[in-house]
Amino acid sequence: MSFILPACARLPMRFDSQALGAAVEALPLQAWQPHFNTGYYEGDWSGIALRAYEDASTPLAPGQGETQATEYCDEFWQAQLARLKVGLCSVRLLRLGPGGSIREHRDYDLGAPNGNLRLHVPIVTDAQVDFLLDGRKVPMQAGECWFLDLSRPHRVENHGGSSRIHLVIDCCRGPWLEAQIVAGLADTPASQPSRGSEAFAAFSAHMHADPVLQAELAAHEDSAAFTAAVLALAAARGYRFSDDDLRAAMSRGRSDWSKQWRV
Amino acid sequence: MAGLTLSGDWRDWLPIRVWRDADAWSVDWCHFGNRPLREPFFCDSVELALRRPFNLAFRQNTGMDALLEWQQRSPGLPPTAFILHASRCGSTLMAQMLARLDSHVVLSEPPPLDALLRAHHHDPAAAAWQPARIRALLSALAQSRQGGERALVVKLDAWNIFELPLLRRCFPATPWIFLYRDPLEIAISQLHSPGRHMVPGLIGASPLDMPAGQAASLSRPEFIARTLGSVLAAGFDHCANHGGLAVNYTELPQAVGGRLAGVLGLDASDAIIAQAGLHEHAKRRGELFEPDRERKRQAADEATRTQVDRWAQTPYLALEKLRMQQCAAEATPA
Repeated sequence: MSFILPACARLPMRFDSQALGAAVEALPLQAWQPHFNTGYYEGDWSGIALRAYEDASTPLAPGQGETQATEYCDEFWQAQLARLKVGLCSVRLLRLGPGGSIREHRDYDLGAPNGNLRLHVPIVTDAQVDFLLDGRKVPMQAGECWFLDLSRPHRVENHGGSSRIHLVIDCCRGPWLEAQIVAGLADTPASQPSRGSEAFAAFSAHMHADPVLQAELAAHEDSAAFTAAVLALAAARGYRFSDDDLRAAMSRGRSDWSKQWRV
Repeated sequence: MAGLTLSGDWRDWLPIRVWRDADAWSVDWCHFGNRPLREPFFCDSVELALRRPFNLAFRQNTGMDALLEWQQRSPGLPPTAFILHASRCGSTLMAQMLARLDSHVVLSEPPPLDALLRAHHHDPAAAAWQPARIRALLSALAQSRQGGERALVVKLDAWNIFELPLLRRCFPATPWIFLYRDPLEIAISQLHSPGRHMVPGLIGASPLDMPAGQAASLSRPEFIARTLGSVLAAGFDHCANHGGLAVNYTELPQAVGGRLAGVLGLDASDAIIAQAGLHEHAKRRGELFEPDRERKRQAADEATRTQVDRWAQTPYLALEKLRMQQCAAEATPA
């Protein structure tokens, strides 16, 4: 297939975020379950499955076989999903609580040539939520529908005071969805540098002009000690970024080197 | 990886890779501090440097201009000698002997040099800038980072013998040697454990390339014998026409402190240290420089002997004849 996926695209279609928010409110509190991938987040990251894999160990987890609507997928949600003219796999409401963060990772299954494609519809979000894809902030607004290539490195940080809630839809590939992606690309707002990556870049420039600081950091052989030293020296100079920003830079440094052998 | 350095100060940094992206060439700089390059190959030193977390987080990319500017600001040691070779004939051992010396910067097959020497094979515009950028690259690699260095010896990849005329244009005054060995012995070693140029298509565009499909149609012994024959023939041609010193593996290691000492920038005490390194090296590695000629020759099958005779024997004999003439001329008082 000649279709090449962009990192992200805002599709032309819009959803009524007020109505979606009200429908979320109407769901029972006990329906929210912690995300299965417990090693990769901090704070509250939980979800409600609207469509789930029959063979998955928990309703939020991926599976191999068929998916079907859960008890929470009422007429309202069915009507929303019916607007997507594609085969649906899992459909989840995912919530990231205030102060919560999802560490940088890649969902490799979404990158396979015939793998599913993932759409995000923000329902409740604000400017204090950083959704970072390839180290850059994706400017998603409530009610929009975004395709995101999450086989690329991504992470989420909720610096705000309220829960971020997205409707997350895994779809089968197909001509309708590809046409939507192409149609949306033209006016998709550009990704923006994240506050952490900007601070990291500024600290790098500072450090490259300071041979003493270079020598001090370059002497480290142990990653944990190096990370602690970088964060402390940067903070002392007024550069604020997280260990995730540093880790992302290191994984970029590693892949920039190894990509020379990839054909 | 961050962008341009603000200061243009590359003390403690070395260019570890140059490559072409679309039309622009870029340089990847890595922090080495004042650590000398003592490993058998430049890429081993790079691998060690990349184990430091600093070099994952803070390596820098620049354009090629940074190399040229750095050469202006801080010229490196001029090259003392180049070592070209036919592979499996003691060149790594020779480089390791020299790398022990505080007086010597030794660059053993640095990939960025290979990339620039062969740039014109895939970038037609390269020929115009190759000499300036090759000189700037070597200048950056040959910085005096410890203080006592006074000589620079560069060992190239075996397939770089085809780029020798370009190298000579860049450094017309630098002497060079071509190290080779009985081709049957090289072929047996390459059959047993092939170098990169002995696997079709692995090194990218090079004068070793055969017409499409031909390499795959050849037996392993024939492919190796033909490739080896090309390298030896180029070695002979260039020695004869570009003033190279023909050196046979059988002269090692004595020749390093002997007839090659002057070319390699060794004085009497250096030569002793270099020879001592030989013993340490041999003990540690337990492989190089045991007299393994007979064992190698006995391992050759008939097909390999036939192919080597056909493709590689003639240039080998021509090299041997040239070497005899050169040795006789050295022995004759001027």
